[in-house]
Amino acid sequence: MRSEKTEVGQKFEEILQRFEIPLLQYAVRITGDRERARDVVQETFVKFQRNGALNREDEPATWLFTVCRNAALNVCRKERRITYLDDELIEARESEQPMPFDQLEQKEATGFLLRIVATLPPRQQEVIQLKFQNDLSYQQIAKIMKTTANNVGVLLHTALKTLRQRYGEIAGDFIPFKPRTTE
Amino acid sequence: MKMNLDDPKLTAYALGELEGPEKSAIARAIADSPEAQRVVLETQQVAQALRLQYKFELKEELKEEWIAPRRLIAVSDDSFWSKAGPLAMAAGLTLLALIGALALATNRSGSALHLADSSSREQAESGRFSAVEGEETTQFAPNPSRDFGAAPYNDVGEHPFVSVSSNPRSSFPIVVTSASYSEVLQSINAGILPPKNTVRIEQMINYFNYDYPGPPADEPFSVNVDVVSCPWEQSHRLMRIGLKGRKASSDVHSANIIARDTKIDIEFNPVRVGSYRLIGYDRRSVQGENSNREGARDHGIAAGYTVTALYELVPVAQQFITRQEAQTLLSAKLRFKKPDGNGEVQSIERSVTDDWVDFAQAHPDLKFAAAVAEFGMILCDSGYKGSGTLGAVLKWAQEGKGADTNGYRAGFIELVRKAQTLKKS
Repeated sequence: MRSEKTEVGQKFEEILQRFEIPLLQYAVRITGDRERARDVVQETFVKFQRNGALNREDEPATWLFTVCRNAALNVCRKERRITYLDDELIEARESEQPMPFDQLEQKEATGFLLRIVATLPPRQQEVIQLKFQNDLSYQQIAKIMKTTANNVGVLLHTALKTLRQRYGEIAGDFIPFKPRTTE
Repeated sequence: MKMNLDDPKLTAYALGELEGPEKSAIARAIADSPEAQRVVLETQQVAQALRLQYKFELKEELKEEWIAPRRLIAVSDDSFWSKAGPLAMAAGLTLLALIGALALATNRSGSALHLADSSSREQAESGRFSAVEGEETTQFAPNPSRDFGAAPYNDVGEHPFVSVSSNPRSSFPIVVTSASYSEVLQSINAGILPPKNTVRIEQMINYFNYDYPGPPADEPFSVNVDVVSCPWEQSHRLMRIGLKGRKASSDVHSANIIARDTKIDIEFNPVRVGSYRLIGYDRRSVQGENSNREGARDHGIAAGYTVTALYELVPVAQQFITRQEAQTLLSAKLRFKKPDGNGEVQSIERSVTDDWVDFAQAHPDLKFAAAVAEFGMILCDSGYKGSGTLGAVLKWAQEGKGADTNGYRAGFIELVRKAQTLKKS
């Protein structure tokens, strides 16, 4: 009995270690507020434990990000905060002009890609974070964001195209490219 | 099949999302299109850079948690949570261990981190130490804040050679972190040569320990200078200056802060040295120059702290030097205030001669530091990299490996080998 508890505790600790800060960063981006994000992530982990998700899910990432996202959107709705909006509004926001790139400190290399990410439309930022911070598949991301894998592919492709251009402009150091053509 | 470069499948392929026949079809189309190959390669590079940057950001978040500890998960009245006390504690300990490892990786000494923000203050206030009124000391812009939220790297360029006749004095910031080395390490390990403007040579040099003798009992620092032929430019001289703070003693008062307002001032002898160049410490924008002035007097140099700087010197041709003229190549003066003193400035001065030692006979530590410097110059494609190659870097590093008790130097040698493969591919 005791050893089983210990095992569960250990597994929970591992999941906490792995997802606590990625979830916090995800929630901060949605709520726009660190304190609220902490509450959201705490709520997520409490639900995770209460619903027995620990035992059910082999890969808890999808569950955690989905619940965290819903909780964060709920906070925004409850408080009528405009930082991050409902999905319909998010789509509408995609047409908004991103922050002019000149406003960024272009010469700062560390994290400069993340600074460019911050200028992308919200949905593109979200797929980039889920894909490259958390290494989730198109399918997993689609489930979390309540959309199709195809749409995730389009969002990622568009975002990466922008990032590629900026990265080339600033770092100027793509590894020299040698084409390999079939004869 | 004509490859449409705006097909999201191209990105999906680059990210390894496709399977089966779909994957094969795209792969065939890409093989026929050099442009598509380029897109795939660039996408993979950006993807890898993003992964690295997120990872780095994550580490910094952990550090922040450490600075303002507040466990994210509070204990609720749920039965699981009431049993979670020891668990939370264990989690906290793991976090602590992680941070410890991180601090080890980026600084290897709490002192560098602890002192990080005092360097710019020293620089900002450096005017007070001006030895001769009206005489210019070559000034270097302050290190930007080491708050990692604001990236510490700004590419403004290397220091050029400075003529001794017009500018005989030089200085450099005493406090250096080693974050850049970790970045370079991560990047090369991930299969990417680091972006040029992330390479900070002085940070890379100071990632490693160099064995300097400690100071005499009555002085807070030892000042160590050696000069050899410059391995990447045979007609030049390479000078190493190493400062080592007194080791912590059982006396608590001297253990914590042994000195403050510390500044190094080097004066070259124009009879012997034509011009000089400080390696690394790239000139940065002077944004926030005065932002760290407040409270400058509260911080100092911690016990056991060491810093190493390299200068490349262009000597005055020997035929122009007569025996009667001073043999002194330069003098190095360290100024500081004792923490318990009444604000009185004290100094330690060393005169340095050049004994025309060849690089082959250099101290192993100097050989190793030269290898790291040249590696940095090659990575950022410096105009001063001279005749050095990665092969030469490898040779110098191996010759300078020494006892390498902690294995860091072996790690560097491995890194240079990886960089060689990346350069070739």
